[in-house]
Amino acid sequence: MKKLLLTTLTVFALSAQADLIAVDHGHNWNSSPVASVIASPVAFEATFKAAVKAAKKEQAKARKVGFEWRDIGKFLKGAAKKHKAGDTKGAMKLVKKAKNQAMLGQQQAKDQANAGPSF
Amino acid sequence: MKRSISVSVVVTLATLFVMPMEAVAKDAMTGKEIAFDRKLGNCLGCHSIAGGSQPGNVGPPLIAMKARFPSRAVLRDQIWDATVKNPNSLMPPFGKHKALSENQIDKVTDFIHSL
Amino acid sequence: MKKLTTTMVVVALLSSTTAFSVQQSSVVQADIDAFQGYFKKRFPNLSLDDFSKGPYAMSEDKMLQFEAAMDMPPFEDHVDKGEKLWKTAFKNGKTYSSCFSGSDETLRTQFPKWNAAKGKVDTLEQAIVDCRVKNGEKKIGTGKGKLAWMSAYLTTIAEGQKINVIVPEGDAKALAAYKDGKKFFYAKRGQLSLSCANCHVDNPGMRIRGDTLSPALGQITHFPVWRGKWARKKGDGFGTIQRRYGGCNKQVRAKPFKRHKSQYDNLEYFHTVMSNGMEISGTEYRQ
Repeated sequence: MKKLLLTTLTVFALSAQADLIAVDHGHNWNSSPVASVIASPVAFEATFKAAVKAAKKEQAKARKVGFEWRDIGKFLKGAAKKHKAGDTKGAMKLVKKAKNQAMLGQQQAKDQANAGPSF
Repeated sequence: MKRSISVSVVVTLATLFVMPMEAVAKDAMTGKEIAFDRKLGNCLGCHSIAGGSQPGNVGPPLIAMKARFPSRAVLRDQIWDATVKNPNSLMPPFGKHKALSENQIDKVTDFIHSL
Repeated sequence: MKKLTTTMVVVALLSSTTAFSVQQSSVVQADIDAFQGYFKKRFPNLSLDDFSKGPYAMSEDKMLQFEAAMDMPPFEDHVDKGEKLWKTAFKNGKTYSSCFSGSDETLRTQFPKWNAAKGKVDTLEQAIVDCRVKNGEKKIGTGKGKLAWMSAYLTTIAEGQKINVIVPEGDAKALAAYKDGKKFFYAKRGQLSLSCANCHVDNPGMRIRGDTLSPALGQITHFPVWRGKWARKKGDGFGTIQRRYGGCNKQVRAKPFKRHKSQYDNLEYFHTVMSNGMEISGTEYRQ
C-alpha cells in the first residue's frame, strides 16, 4: 500500500513537472523574434545567450553614464541560476527585466543631465 | 532507501507547489496590500492613509481622493509618473520605472481612489 | 622715503598672502551662500551649527533621544581603539602623523582637499590608507572597522574646528570636480528616482515613515558616525561618510559606487564645501 502510494505520488509529481514545463514553453513569446523556434532547447540556448549579452551591453552603458540601478546584476545572476535549473521562462523574464532597467537608467541619465538646485 | 524516496517525493512536491503558489499570492494581492507593502507601493513612506500605521508626511495625506481626483485616469497617471506634472516631485514614477506592474497600478489606483 | 618703504612692505605682505592662501572659487562661494541661505530661511530659529544635529535639531522629542544616547556614548570604546591604532607606529617606526602636515587636531578639516598635482580630490580616509601603503603596511577597508575608528578619533579631536574646504579660484579641474559632485547631489537616480537633494534639501524635518530626514547642511560635521542601524547589522556600528553614500544609493535602488573613486570623492567635496564655516561636532550617534 505504502509502495503504491509512493509510486502514485512520484508519477503525479513527474507529470506535474511535465505540465509546468509545457506551460513554460506554451507561454506567449510573441515579443521575441525567435518565438517560433523557442521550443527547441538548442535554439533557446542561443536565444538566451544573445539576450544576456544584449542585457549586459545595456548594463555597461548605464554604468558608464553613472546611472546603473541596484538590482540589474542580481536579475542577471538569478537568470543564470534559473536557466541552469531549466526554468527557461523565468530566466528569460529576468534577463528582459535587467535589460529594461538598464535602458531606463540610461534614459534617467539623459533626463537628469541638467539637474541642479530648485531654490 | 524507502525513506530517501519519500523524502525526495515530498521535496519535489513541495517545490512544485510552493513556487506557483508564490506567484499566485503576488497576483492575488489587493490594492491595499500592494499600497502598504514596503517593497511595493510603500505609499505609507510618505502619505498617511486610513488603516496604515507609522506614515511619513513628505506627501499629502490620502483623503477625499475622489474630490481631489474626479478622474480616475488622472490619478492613475499621477501614480504612473508624478514628475510629468511636477518635475521636482519626490514621488517615484512607479509605472515609468516599472516598480509596479500595470496590473498592480490599476489595483492601487482603485484603492487610493476609494479613500 | 619712509612712506615708500611702508607701502612696499604692505604690498609685499599682501602679495605673499595671496601666494600662500588659496582663494575660494567665486562660483563656489556663491553656491555656498545660496545653499546656506536657503536653509537659514527655511529654519529661521536654527543657528548655523544647530544644523549639524541633523534630524534631532528638527524636533524636541528627537533631541531628547539623541541626548540620552550621547549621555552614554555607545561608541567611545571604538574611538579609543582608533586613537591607539592611530598612535601605533608602523613596522618601519613611522606613525600615521608623519604622512600629514599640521597637528592631528587639524586633519579632519584639512580634507577633502583638492590635489592639483594629481588632478583629483583627496579624502582623509583614502589618505590614511595611502599612508599605510607608503610605509609598507597592508591596505585596509575604507567603509568601516579600523579605518572608521581612526577617522572617528580624528573627528573627535577636531571638535570645534571649522570646515573650510577650498575649490581653488582659477583651477578649472577643481571646479569641474566640484560641479561633478554637485550634479551627483541634485540628480535623481535609481528605480525610485530620488536625488540626495529631494530628501535632504527639499524635505528636511519631514518624515519617511517614522524617520525624520536630516538637512544636507551639516551632515558631514560628525562623520564617521555610530549608527544604531549599522550596529544591528554585522559590525560595530561605525561607518564613514562614503559608506553612508552607498547606503543612500541602495535605498533609492541605484547601484552604489565604489568608495574613494571619483563619484563619491567629488560628492564628498561638494557636500562638505556646502557646510563651510560650520564646526566639526565630533563623532556622534545617529539612529
